[in-house]
Formats: sequence, C-alpha cells, structure tokens
Amino acid sequence: MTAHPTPGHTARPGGSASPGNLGPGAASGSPGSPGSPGSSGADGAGGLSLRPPRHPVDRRAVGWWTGQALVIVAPPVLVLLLLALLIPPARFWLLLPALVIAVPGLVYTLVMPRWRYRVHRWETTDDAVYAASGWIWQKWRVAPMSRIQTVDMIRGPIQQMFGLAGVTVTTASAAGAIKINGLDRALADDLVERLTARTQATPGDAT
Amino acid sequence: MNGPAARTPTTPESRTGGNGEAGAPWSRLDPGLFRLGLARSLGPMAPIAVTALVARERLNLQTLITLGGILATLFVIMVIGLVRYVTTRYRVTAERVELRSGLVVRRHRSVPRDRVRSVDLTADPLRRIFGLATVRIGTGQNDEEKGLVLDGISRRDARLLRTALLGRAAPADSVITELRPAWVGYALLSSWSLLIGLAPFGVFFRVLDAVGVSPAEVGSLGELWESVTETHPAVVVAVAVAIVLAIGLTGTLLLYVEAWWNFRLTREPDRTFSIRRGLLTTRSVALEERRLHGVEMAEPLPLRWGRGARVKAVATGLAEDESVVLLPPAPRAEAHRVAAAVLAGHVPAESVASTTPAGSAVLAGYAPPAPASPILAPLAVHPRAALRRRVSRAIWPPVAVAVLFAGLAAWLSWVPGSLWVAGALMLPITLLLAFDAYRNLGHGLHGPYFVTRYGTARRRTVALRRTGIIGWTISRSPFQRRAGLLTLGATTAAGSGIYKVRDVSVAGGLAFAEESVPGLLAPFVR
Repeated sequence: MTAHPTPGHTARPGGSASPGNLGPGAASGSPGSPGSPGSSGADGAGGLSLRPPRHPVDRRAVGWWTGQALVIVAPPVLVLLLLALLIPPARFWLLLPALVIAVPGLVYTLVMPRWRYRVHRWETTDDAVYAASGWIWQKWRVAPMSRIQTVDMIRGPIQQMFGLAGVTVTTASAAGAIKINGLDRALADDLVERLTARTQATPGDAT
Repeated sequence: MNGPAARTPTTPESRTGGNGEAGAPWSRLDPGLFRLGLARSLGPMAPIAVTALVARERLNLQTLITLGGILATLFVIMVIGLVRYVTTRYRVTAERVELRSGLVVRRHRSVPRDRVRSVDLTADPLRRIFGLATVRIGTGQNDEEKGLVLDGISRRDARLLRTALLGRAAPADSVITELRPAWVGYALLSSWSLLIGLAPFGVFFRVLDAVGVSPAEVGSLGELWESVTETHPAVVVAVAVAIVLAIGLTGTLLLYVEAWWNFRLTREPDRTFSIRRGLLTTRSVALEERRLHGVEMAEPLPLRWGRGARVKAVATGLAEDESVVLLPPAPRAEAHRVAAAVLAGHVPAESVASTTPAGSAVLAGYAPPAPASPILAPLAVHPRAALRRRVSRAIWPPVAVAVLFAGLAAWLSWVPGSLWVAGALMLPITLLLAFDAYRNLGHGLHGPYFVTRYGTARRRTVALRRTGIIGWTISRSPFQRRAGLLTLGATTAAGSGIYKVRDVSVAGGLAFAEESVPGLLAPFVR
C-alpha cells in the first residue's frame, strides 16, 4: 500500500480540466462519426436529461480494460496458433477459427477500453453516490447515503498491476452493488474513508 | 448452561412461563418424533430382512452386500434420528427462544424474542400421521442461519408456541380472502399445464435409459409404434395432443388442490398477515405488515384470456427463491380486491361476504370503494418508439427462422424447400405479441405507491411503496439512445430487488423518478 495522498492524486477527480476528460458532452455532439460512443447522460428530446457524473475514472483504467480484454481473447488464439504450428495437415482448419476469434477480438480490445473510459464516471454528493458504467449498454446508478450498507475496496490482480482499485457500494437491494472501478488506489482509499464516515453520519435504516 | 435444570424434560405448558433467563425449563421434542424415526427406518427394513432370510439359499454375494448396505444405511438413519430426538432441547424465556442440539458438535442457538418476525408451521403427510409439525422461527432476514427450526413438536404445541411468540389471539383475525372451489378453473389456465403433461413421458424414457433397455426392445412399445405408423398422421397428432393435455390438466388440478386446499389469507390483530394452505402438506406463513413493501399481480397469457390473475407479496426478508403468494390464480376482480385490502391497512367490509359486486364496481371504474387497488391506477402510455423497439424485436426471429430453413434447404437436399414458410407463419403471432407488449407498458403513481406494468407472455403489474425505493438504476441500449428512451429501475430491499419501467422517454422517465422519490435524482438531472 503506497499511501501517497499527494495533492496530485486527490486533486485528480476535481481537477479533471483536460479536454479529454470533459469528452462525454462533446462526444454526444458528433453522432455522425462512426464509433462515437455518445457517452453523455441521457439526452432527452425536450426538457430533462441526465447529466454525466462529475469525475472520470483514472486514465490508467484504459490499460486495465485492455489487459482484461487480452486475458479473454488471447489464450484461445494463441492455443490455436500453436496447434497450427504443430499439426501441419490441419493448419487451415486451425487458422480459420483463430482468425475468426482474433479479428473481432482485436476490435474489442481496441474499442472497448476507450469507449468505457468515456462512459465510466462517478460522483458523490453529501446525500448520494452516482456512477455511470458500461459501453454499448450503459447504466447510471444512484444510491442515497442513508441507504448504503457497506463500502468496500476491491483490487483485482490486473487492476493492481496498474495501481488501480475499485470501490463497491452495497445497499439492501438484491439487484447488485454500485461499482466504481479503475480509480487511483490512494483516491479509492480516500473515497472509501469518506463514504464510510458519511454513511455513518447519515441517519437511515439502510432498508 | 449445563445446570441440572437443563436436563429436566418438562411439559410444554411450563415453557412459556415468564420466568427469568435462568429459570425457564427446557423441553424435549415430541415423543412422536421418536416413533416417526423408528417407523421410517423399520418400515423398509422389515421386508428387506424377511426377504433376505427367506431367500438366503439363492442369494449371491453381490445381492447380499447390496441388501446389507441398505439395512446398514437405514439403521444409521434411525440412529441419527434417535440421537437428534434425545439431544435436542428448546425453551422460550421472557427474552429469547433457545435451541440446543447435537451430540458431537453441540450447538446452542438463541434468537431474541423481539427479533422474531415470522413463525411458520408446516407438516408433511408423515408428520401429520404422528401429529407433528415443523416450526420455522424467522427473524425477517435473508440469512437462513439467523432463524431457528424446531422439527418435530406436536401440532398443539406448535400452535401454542406461535401464539406465544407472535402474541396473537386466534379468533380475532379477519379473513381477507379464502379459496373458492370455482377458482379451480383458473388453475387450468396456468401456462405450465402442457409441460406437466409431457413430464411422464420424459421420466418413462429416462427410466428405460437408466435400466439400460432400448425403447425398441420393449414388446408392447414396438407393437404400439407399428400401429401408430399405420394410422393417419392427423389422428396420431390429435390423440397425442389429447393425451398430453389430459395428463397436463389432471396434473395441474391435483397440484393445485394439494397446494391451495384450505387457502386462507387473514389479517391478524398484531399487524401481520397469515397465509394458511395445503392438503397433504399444510403450510402456514406469517408476514409482518411492515415487511410488505408492495404487491405484484401476474397474469400469464392464458390466465389473462380467462380474466384471471395471481397476486404475490413484494416483501423484504425472503430468501432468494422464496415468494409469498397472496392469492392463487383467481378472478381478476378478486385479485384487485385482495391487493387493495392488503395494501390499504384495513379490510373492506364486504370482504368476507360474496365479493363479486364490489369487484366489478372496481373494474368498471366508477366510485371505487375506499381502498382502491393501486394496480388499477391510471398508467401513463409509453412513447411510440417503445412500440418500434418491440416490433423490430418481433421481426427478427421469424426472419432468422425463414433464412435458416431456406439456407438448410439450399445446402442439404433432404431438407424440404418449403420449411421457410414456418418463419412467415410466425410473423403475425410475434407481431401481435409485440403490439400487446407495447399496450401493456405503463407507469404511474398511486398515492404512496410506484406502479409499473410490462410483459406479454406474463404481464406483471407491480405496486411498490415509494418509501421502499432505495436507489435508481437507469440503463440505455444503443437503440434506446437513438430513440430517446431509457429503462428506469427502482431498486428496493424487497422482492426481486429491482422493478423496472421499461422504455420510457428520457424526460418522462426522469420526471417520474423525481416525482416518485423527490430529491434523490434531482441533483443529477439538468
């Protein structure tokens, strides 16, 4: 645990002033361009729309999601390539499925992490936690502080390699927890602490 | 804990005395359990032992080992049962319910009385013969470990125990609804009838397979097959459908009677609902009113054609697959009346008497009685884009079927070329379902309730108490983003955990969320 709550780390969410981080709004403005994720909040035809949460996740999350994608895509392709090398007569029938997996797999590995990065955002207020996730199918979730039961930090092996951590906020609902993944580790620590203190200070029966 | 008092078996009556923690005596399970254990093991053991003795000349070693194994297993089961009877003690003190059991691993479990939320009695046929019941004392939490199960006390004691723990007087409860024989017809409209009809055939061939007999080798089956192939196919199909339907309907009927015999939903004086039902196995469930966050009305398509519905409780503290049914398949008017009565906090006067007039008044929509069912609330219509989404979903499967069959026919010579027509025939049906699904979509508020309706094969209408909503989940697929729709999910601790308003317009959905739970979503809306 390299706890460096340096200003650089903690200021990251608030100081998301780089144009890339403000992308979502801009992205939805160009629906014509192919691959434009349209990752802004729900933009309604008239009146109300959902605004994206304030903070993006850490930029390193792109690397983490790429790693995750490779873990899924690479092994079958490598096995098929190895077999093709070892069994010359069946080479064509081994390379064909390898290609069939590799091409969409490559697209997935390149597109998914970047798309996710534009969608995944989070925000906490005094009263609620608000997080957006997904890429093709997108989800925005809100839970009030008074209904939060537990706040946990989770660090998977690949996430650790990138110095990242995830925060999981559970409520009494069986529909699943709010997960904010791909945060800087020090920031996640800080967030867990703040949320825990905040939920304890907020009266509520959490049901 | 191991004081001399702990060893003294006492009469059940002394159990509920308001003694202090130390003073309350421990009781044993009912001796009937002892006899039940003996009967259950000795019953099968006797014929096996007699057979082995009579035929001992002709038995080979393998059969002997098998029979010996069975006898040993039954013996072990009997011993385990006896040990359980001998080692189990329970008591109810002024503060807590305690249960001690186990010979090698001693377990002591105690539940504070003020945490007891439900006391459920069940009795399977074997236990009923011996006058026993199983009591499940629940604390209203999902965790099974936190409850307490007393298996094998006399039914009289079980009822006394429930009265003691929940503090209720039996005659003061008021009946909300009771099973009426005419409702059996609605059971036949349950969508599973046909599948039950198929089950015996599946089991039959499974058994043949397990024994290692090929169906063709069974003489009578072979003859049957020959006569079948000689008959006209239309007759064969008609007979087969008739047989499956007959078995299915009979099975459904038997299951319905077993499950719902003597069904009775009552409101107890201590703000608890009590549900009793069952012919062979009697079930009794107590549901605290404060655990009830709403109701769900389900109308599978056949049941909807018959103007019937079922009602389920949306409650907290249930296990994952557990559900509390408030009304079995019954007339829709009755479903509305039960929903209204359960949610309103008091029973309408006409409840016990014949209810059809009141029900039809509610249905007709004029001057509804005081507790109007939230399920009857006028619901907002969803945007046309939701219909487009359903229609496009309805077009894909038939097209896929047609293309698949056409492709197969082109590729394999033995596949008939006209099979793609199946896809074309499917299209009108799926389109009808799509229109029905769109028509069924709706959402609205009814006083303290959030109401949503969706589905076609099984239409569901859920009324959820707004104070029970503990968060929002908004999801959007690419289609929804293009069409300006979203799916709004209200998360809750009760029932399935999330109840969705599908395919509502963005502005409409967000406004509805804000109206349902003011202030929660507002900071994130612009």
